Amino acid sequence: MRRTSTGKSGHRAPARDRPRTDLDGRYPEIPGFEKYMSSGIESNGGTSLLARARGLYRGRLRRLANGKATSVRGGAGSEASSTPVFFVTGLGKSGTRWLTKILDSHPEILCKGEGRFFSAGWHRADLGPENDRALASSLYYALEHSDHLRLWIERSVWSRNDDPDEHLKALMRLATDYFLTSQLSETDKILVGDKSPLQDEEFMREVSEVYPVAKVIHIIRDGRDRTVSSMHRGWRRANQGYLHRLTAEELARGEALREDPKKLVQTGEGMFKEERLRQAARHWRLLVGRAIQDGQALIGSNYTEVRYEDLLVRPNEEVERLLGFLGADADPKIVEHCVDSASFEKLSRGRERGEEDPSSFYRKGVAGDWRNHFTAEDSRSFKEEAGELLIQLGYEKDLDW
Amino acid sequence: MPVFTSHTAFEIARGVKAFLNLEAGLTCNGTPDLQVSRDKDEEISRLRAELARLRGAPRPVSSPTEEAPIFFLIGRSKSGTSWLMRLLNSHPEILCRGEGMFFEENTSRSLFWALSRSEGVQAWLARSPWTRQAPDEGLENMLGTFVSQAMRQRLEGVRKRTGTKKIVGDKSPFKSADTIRDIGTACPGAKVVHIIRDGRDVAVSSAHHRWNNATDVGGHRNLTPDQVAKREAYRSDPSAFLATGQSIFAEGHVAEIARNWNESVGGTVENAASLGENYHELRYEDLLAEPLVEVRRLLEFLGADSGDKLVRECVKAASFEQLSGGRAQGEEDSSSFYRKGIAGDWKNHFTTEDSRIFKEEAGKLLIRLGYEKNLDW
Repeated sequence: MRRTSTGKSGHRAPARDRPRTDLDGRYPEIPGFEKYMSSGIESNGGTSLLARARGLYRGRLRRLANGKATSVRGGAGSEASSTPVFFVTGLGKSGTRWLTKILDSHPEILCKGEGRFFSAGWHRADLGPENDRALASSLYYALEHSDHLRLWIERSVWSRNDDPDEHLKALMRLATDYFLTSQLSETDKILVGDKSPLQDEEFMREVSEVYPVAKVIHIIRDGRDRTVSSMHRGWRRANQGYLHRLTAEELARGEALREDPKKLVQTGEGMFKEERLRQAARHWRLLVGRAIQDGQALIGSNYTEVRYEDLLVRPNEEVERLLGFLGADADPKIVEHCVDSASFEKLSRGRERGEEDPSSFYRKGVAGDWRNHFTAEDSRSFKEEAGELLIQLGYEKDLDW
Repeated sequence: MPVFTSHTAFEIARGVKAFLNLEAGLTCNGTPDLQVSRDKDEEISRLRAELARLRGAPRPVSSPTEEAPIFFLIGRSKSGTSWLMRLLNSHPEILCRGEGMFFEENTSRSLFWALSRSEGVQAWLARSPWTRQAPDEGLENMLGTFVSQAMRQRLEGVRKRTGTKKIVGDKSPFKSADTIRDIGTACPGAKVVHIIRDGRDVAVSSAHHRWNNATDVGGHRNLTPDQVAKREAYRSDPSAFLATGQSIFAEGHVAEIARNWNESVGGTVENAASLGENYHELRYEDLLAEPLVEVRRLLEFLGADSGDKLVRECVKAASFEQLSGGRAQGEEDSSSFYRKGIAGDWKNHFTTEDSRIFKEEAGKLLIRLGYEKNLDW
């Protein structure tokens, strides 16, 4: 399809400048916003609220356009310019998807995933035609491991005097920036975020090197709950055919749990094989611990954290804070709208929080569920592997639990 | 001038500005007035990089000259692209280098080839939710942003030393008509200069170029003993060799060049239509005959200063005498890249058979481009 010289059937003209031209002087109509303002929210002062929101929207768009005039093409070099790009990260099963939905329901924010831009050290080898929906290795991995590309950089008259890694970073930044903002420009929104779960320990460092002006929201959940959630996901995926990831014994425990949710704890057998639990605890300690440390040190004021548990108990307060952090409109009505459209009831299609469906991605949606599943042995193992981080994060006061 | 709007950069810039104002004995009024003068701008960049280093963060890639105009100088190889590159690069406002090897997906070692051969990149483009709707377009866009960035970044480096260069161009001879199409899709808005030369002179020049790149003189091309003998015979006495009626070309070489010239040059002229005003074509022969006129036109097209004095200096800097290290135009050195530098030399070289073959493969394009009126030559 790339072979035709002019119009590509079905494609819009491939204009790299598209994100800019849309913002260049004229401000697009915002039908989605208007519809939402007039129907989704009860009229509180009616037109004045709409007018105010619109004024804010346009003002921000104008600022964005000004920033863009000097930014997008510049690439990694122009780190002083503003960017509409942010990342939502967190270890898997910590609420990244939930938070992504909350943010995406905001009239100014486009947020989806997973782009898999970062984590150069992370790749998957089992990409076959049979799992064509599976995500590929990260873009950074792909670029770093393209020998032809590296050779080109080392030889080209335009790059051979420089450090090839700096050029790879620039290419990463340019590609990330381009792909995110070009989709953004096709919407009425002004901020764009990718849901990028933590794949390895280097995520924050890479973002700080490649994309230092992007904002990062890190969602953190009690490691014990996310481990329970993760085990359930393992069983769900086994039902979808990914049997090789679990042992026969683990599959059997999944069956037992399904028949009688309480039995495994009562017998002391538990839902986890010890090594699986220890592995999960270590994983949580290493990745979350490092992300917190690097996020604060390397990304600084562009980095913030949010707890899954806080988002549960005081969603409006937390969402308002996050919107402020991103520079989005944090009007209480809009906050309410965001929280509501990503409520557990909506995401699970009708179940109440705590009402469990093990086969659903939105399984139970509560905090502290680990208490229903951990045996004394499980607690001891987890404590040994990650007890200190639980204390550091305030989930426990000490190791006596 | 950059406008600092990012939160962090903003804070740092404000801090640095306050510092500079203090130094100058001024007071900072604290308002976020971010329009700062150029030299302070540079100072701020320096301090910011220093601050980033101190914070343990890596240094940012040096800031490229954002928004600088970009152009591509293209042409079939042996058509004068290197000559024109040197000519343009001698202009104080223009940085022109080569060869970038950016385009042509099917030409090995090009950047496009490298990216499209990366299985990881292809898999990512096909599967990422941000690109999977149009992975091919994604690849072109990666290519385009990277090309522009690499060129502008180099321009920024040179500009820091010379202070005058503000337009950047890459010279890459093309292998096919894909180059101009790739430029149009990956770098829309970039200007394209296409230099065309009579295909028969291209063929003669290519024959000498092959001889110069043979393995026995340190090159990469394998010549048969026959061809080496031919080269030596020609070089010991060119007119005697030509008088024998032998062709300088190896078996099939004329046909190969004529075919490629026909396809690549003819195709490029056709594809150029989609670039509209961003396309400028010039002839090697015109550049020889009327350099001042052609160069002025070219500089106007590129948006560079085209004053008489500059035009004359550019022409002089890239004169045949300069490039060949002192030979006069027409004075041949078969072993030099700048061999002879004239138009119509094919008449001295082509045998009747060479002409017949060339006519068959590319006779119509010669007419279309005005090099001949018909096939009776």
